[in-house]
Amino acid sequence: MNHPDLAAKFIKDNERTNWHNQSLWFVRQKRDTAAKSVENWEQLRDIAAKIKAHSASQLDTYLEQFEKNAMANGTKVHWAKDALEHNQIVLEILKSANVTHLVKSKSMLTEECHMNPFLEKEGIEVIDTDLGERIVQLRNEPPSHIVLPAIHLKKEDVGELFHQKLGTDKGASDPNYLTEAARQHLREKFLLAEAGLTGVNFGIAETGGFVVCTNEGNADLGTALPPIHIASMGIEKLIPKLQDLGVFLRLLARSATGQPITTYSSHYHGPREGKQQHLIIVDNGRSQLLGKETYQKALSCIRCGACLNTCPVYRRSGGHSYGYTIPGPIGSTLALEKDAAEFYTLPFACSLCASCRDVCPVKVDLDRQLYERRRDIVKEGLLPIKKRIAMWVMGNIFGSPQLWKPTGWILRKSLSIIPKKILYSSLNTWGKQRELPEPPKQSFRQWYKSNREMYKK
Amino acid sequence: MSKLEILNAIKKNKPGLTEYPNISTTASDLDIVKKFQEMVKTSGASCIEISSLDEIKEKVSALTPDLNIKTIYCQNPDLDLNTMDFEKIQSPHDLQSVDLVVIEGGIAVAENGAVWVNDEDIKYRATWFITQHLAMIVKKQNIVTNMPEAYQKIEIKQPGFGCFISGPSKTADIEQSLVIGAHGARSLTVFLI
Repeated sequence: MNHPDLAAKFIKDNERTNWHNQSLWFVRQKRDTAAKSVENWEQLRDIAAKIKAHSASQLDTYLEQFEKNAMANGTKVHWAKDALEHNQIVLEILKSANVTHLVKSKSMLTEECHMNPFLEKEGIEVIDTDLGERIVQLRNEPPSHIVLPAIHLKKEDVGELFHQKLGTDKGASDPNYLTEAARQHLREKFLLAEAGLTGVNFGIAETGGFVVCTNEGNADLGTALPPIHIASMGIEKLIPKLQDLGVFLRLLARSATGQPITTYSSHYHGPREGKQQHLIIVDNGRSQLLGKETYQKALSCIRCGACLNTCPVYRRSGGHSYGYTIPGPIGSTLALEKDAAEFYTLPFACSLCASCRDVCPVKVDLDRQLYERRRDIVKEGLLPIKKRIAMWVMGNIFGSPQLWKPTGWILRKSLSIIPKKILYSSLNTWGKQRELPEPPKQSFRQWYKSNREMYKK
Repeated sequence: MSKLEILNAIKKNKPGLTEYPNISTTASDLDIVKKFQEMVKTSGASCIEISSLDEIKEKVSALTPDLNIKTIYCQNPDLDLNTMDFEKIQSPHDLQSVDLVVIEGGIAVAENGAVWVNDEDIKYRATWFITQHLAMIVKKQNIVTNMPEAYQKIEIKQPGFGCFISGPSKTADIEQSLVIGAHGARSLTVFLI
C-alpha cells in the first residue's frame, strides 16, 4: 500500500475533504472541553500511563491472576497466539453449539484477526451491530476510524445504502429516520442470534472480570440475549485492579468523543445462570512488541481515537488511506510492527507536529515512535531507490559546507528566475497546493558576516 | 500450549519492573446532588425529584401518553406499576415487548450522571437494555463525587454483571448527528429521592 497515493484519491473531492477535516476537529474540540472540566486532568493522564507501564512490567503475573479469577467466576478462558488460532477458537465454540447467527459489537481485535470472512466461509452469519460498523459492513469496507467507523460517509451515502439494503425510502437521509431503521433491523438480529461477541476495553486481573463500553447498548443486547458470550481481548488490555477503572473510565470517553462517560460501561464477571461466557486472550505479535523499548508504549493505547481526531494528516487523508485496521498515528506505528515493508509510507505521512502525544490519555510517545520508525525503515533498506538516492544526495549536501554554499545560491537564484509555469508544474511536488516561499536576497552566512562586521565596528 | 508460549514470550520480553502509582487525586467540594442532576440532563436523560416512592406512580402515568407506554415491568410490587405476568417471562427474549422498565439504581456519580446497576436482584441482564424506555430510582444518599469514589463503594458479585448507565442509548455514527435511541432505551428518567 502507499499512503500518498491513497490520500491523493481521498483529497480529490475538496469539499468532502474539508468536511471530513472539520467533523473530526469538532470532536477534538469536544474532547478539549471535556478534559478541561476535570480537575487534575494532567495528573490523571500521568497516573494512567504509570498503571499501564506497571501492568506491562508484570504482564505475565497479571494474566495468570486474571485467568485464575475469571475461571473462578465461571468464565472459560482460551489463549490464542495469533489471529488464526483466535478465529479457530471462536469457530470451535460456535460449531459445538450449532451457532449460525453471531452478533458482534465493536472489536478492533476481530478486525485485526479478519474474523468475519473466516467465519462467513464456514457458513456463519456475522452481524456487526454498532451502527457505524453495520454501515461499513453493508458497504463491504473496513471502518475508517476506530471509534467513529463511518466518519468518512455523508448521511446521503448512508441513506442510499439503507435504501438498497434495508428498504428505507429512496432519498431519505435524516439521521433519526435512518437510525430507527437500523434499530428495527438489528433488533431482529439480536433476537435471532445464538451467540454474541464483544471486544474488551479493560480486563481486571484482581477480579477476573472485564469491561466493555458502548453508547448504543449493542454490546449489552448482544450479550444479554443469546446464551453464549465470547469476548476477545488483546493481552495489553489488562489492568491490575478494579480501582484502576476509576482512572481509565474518566479518561476514555472524554478523550474519545468528549462525553464524561459512555452510556453503558458494562462489567462482566461470569456468565448468566446456565449460560456460557468465553474469554479469548490474544497475543498476535503483542508479546514481541513488549520487548521493543522504543515502541513498547504503544501497548498502553486504550483505543480512544483522540490521536486520529487531532492529526492534521488523518483529518485530511481519511482512515482508508492508511490501509491498516487501525489508522492515524497509533495505527501507523502498530502497522509497522506487523509489516514494515508493506506500510513503510505511513511514518513519513506524519508531520511530527506531536499533537497526538499531547492529547493521548495514556501518554504514548507517538511522534517520537514515528520518527524512530523512519530511521528503522532507512536502516533496513526499505525505502524505494528514488528516495534513497535523494536522501543520499541531500545528506551529502547538508553535511558539507563546500557543497551547501553553491547549492543555496542555485536554489535562491532559480526560485526567482524559473517561470511560474514550470515551478508549479507536475515536476515539482513541493509546488502542489502550496506557494513556494519568496527566495531571500542573501544567505544566512552572508547576513551573519555583514552583521558581525557591523557589530565589530 | 499457546498459553505457555505467550507467557514465556512475555517473561522474556517484558520491561523492567515499574511501580504501581498512587492513584488518588483530590477533588474540590461541590454540591454533588446539584452536579448529578446537571450531568443527568447533559447525558440526555431527565431528572425528577420526588420526596417519596408513592409519587412515582403518578409521575410515570404523566410520562406514558407522550412515550406511548403500554407495558411496564417493575420488580417492586409496592410501586403498583407492573403490567407484566412474571410467570410468563421464561427468557430474556420475552421482554422484547416491554415499553418501560422501572428499576432501582445503586451508586450514582455526580461527575458524569452515571448510575450503577447490577443483576443481584434482576433475573435477566437484558432488562435495562431491551426496554423501549427506562426509569431508575436513585437515592440522594447514594451519590458520590466521581468515579474513583464510586469504585470504592460498588460491590462486584461473582459471578455477576454490573453496569454504569448514563443517559439513554445514543449514537452519532451518521454524520456526527446525535440520535437518541440506538439499540437500548429511547429515554431515561431518573427519579431522585
